[in-house]
Amino acid sequence: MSILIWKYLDGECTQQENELVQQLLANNAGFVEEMNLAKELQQALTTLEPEEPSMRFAANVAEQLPNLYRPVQANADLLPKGVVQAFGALVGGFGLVCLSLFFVSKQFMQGQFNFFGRYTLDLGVFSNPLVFSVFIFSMGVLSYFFLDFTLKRLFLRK
Amino acid sequence: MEEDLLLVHRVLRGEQFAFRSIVEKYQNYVFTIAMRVLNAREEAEEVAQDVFLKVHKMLGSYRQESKFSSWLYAIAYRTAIDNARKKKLPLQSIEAGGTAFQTPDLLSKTPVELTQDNDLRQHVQAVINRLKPSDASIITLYYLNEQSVQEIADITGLSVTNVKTKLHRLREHLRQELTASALDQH
Repeated sequence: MSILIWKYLDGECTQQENELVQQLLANNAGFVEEMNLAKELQQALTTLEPEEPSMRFAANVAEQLPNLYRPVQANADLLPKGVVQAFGALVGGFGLVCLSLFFVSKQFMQGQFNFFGRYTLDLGVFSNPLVFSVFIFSMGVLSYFFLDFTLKRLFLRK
Repeated sequence: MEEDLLLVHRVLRGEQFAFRSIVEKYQNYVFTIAMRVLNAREEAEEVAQDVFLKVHKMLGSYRQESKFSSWLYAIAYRTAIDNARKKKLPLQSIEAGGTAFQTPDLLSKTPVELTQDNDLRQHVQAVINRLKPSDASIITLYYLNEQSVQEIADITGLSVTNVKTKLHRLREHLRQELTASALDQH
């Protein structure tokens, strides 16, 4: 019976159940009493007030928000030192290979290579996709470090 | 709900004042959930603050699959329950047959004093405060926070059937308490 009462008060009764409730309300004094008590309870529950925290609650939360986030260390190195050094060595190596090919490849290909002889500038070496990629990549990396250094000097001066 | 989403977007765009609006709108409800679970004002306030800090951190992960309020209450409920577990407060339901969770001030009140309050709402509130935290939370979420049974199931991790059953038993328990109190009065 109590299930029916709560279903009725929640508005979840089917047509048949609604009819049954109406019948019981008309003929059953005990049911009417239970229904009235349930209605009173329902009314009290729906009008309950929430608890209130202290007056400074919202301000306290706002004050704690900055502690959530670690400040960005803008003047810190972008990458760990070891990584930068390894990367530098790699780029330097690539640069040297690139430069060597840049100066000597034509003579080397023609069998005229003489390390201590006359060096000629051969731009044709850039037609080699590998050399070209290495060159562009090296320039990109160098520009990155140059920009990083320059921007930090410009904007992070104390 | 639209208003909540607007506030969420504003916070995500970096408007910190919008977050304060969220806190002010929901602080009472989140605090009430924490109070129902912990039954101690200071701890509940600490937990409620933690809840809002968590919400601020996790706001980017809110996917709008549920109402913002449901998402917020789920965080509040879980944070409060975790806190109660750490403090080893009893969490089992009245269905498990345990005694009701009672606060010292309520224990000190005699049934006569309770009936003398002559205020049904106060009486209901007192009975809710004596419920186990998880049970009190279900009643609170359903009536005060106006969450549907499905939403309560999502918040508490219980099945819909389980929430319905608990809700029915809890209301019956409240009704019996009221009947007993009415008999005491006469």
